[in-house]
Amino acid sequence: MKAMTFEDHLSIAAARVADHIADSVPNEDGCKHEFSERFEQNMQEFIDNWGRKKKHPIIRKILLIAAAILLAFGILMASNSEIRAAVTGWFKELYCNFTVFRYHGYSEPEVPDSWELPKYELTWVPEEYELKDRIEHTYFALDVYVNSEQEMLTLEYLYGDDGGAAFIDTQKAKMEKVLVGDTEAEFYRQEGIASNTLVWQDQEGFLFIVDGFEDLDTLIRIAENVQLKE
Amino acid sequence: MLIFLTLIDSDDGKETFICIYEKYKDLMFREALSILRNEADAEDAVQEAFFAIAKNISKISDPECPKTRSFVVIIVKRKALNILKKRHPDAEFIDEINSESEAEDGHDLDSLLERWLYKLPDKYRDVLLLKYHFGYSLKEISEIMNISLSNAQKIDQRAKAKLREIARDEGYDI
Repeated sequence: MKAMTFEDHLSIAAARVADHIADSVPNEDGCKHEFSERFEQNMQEFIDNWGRKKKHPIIRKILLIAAAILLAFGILMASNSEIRAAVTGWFKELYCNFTVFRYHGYSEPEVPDSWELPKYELTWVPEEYELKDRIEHTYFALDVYVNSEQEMLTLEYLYGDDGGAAFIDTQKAKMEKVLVGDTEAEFYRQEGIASNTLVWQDQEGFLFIVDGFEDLDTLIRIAENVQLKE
Repeated sequence: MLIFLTLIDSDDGKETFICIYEKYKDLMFREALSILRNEADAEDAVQEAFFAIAKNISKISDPECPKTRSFVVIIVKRKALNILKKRHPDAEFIDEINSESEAEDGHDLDSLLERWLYKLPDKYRDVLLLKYHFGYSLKEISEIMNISLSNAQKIDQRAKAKLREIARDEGYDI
């Protein structure tokens, strides 16, 4: 007969502790609570939406994201003449359920023929993530990493030319100010099972967005490892 | 969430989830309230716990069994402690909270380990319970507990090292 390992004994002990936990809490009937309307609504919505959203293949997700970004560029470039902010930089606006980061600048977009979007890369990602795809456009790039559970982790960066914009679904997100290195950033923590987003901009006019199913500390670590590819 | 991403992908587990929700939500609220002392925060903890449970619903076969009961209690307490930690970021005591031992005296290794598990900080013990009793991977545990995978790996290693240290202090070599 095979001898029991330390892990086997630990499993038995853990089961006993779990049983004690189950026994130590009061009977469910003895602790009725009237939940707030907000809670009930959120949970009802969560249950109602269960299974409604069908999983897109990864490549379809990537294309949809890219299409949304391109669409944002197209729309905003077209209406560029109406946008004249007093200062230059990325600004945040609310649009329906989205937070839109939009670039406002002084001049018409003038991109020299020789201009090339610099290549930034992630020099660290959590284990299990592998680079799946990279989409590049004149003004933005999107690196898509995927883990074994088909969860996506993305690095997106946009160059700040008039008309540049990024949309983040923030209907149910809570925002908090954080630091990526010494740079101020905004962390959008999503309610439920949705990915979190970290957004910041640099002095060169780039907006960076790291998005994934990771916690704040991990996303910050990822963000701090965005480096210009040599 | 950048642009959009999917939530739950199929109807699988919906009935189980509803059953768990109806059966345990009040109990979970009470457990969260005992830690947070604030009803709104306690509801947030319950909600976060249900989202974590939903994501792992495939691993729950029987909503009524004691295993599920202890699982939901562990999860909601962990979520409540996360919120408490957020409210009091400098309060190191939160990571050091220990539960009272309910283990019976015994000198076989299983009984000793049971008793020693109670001597661990709750966070350490929760990781070991989730891994060795509930069968979650460290990746899944990191998601349930809102910590990075590397952090979960560290806690797992430290928890076992701590168990060995406690054993040594009591004159055992494990």
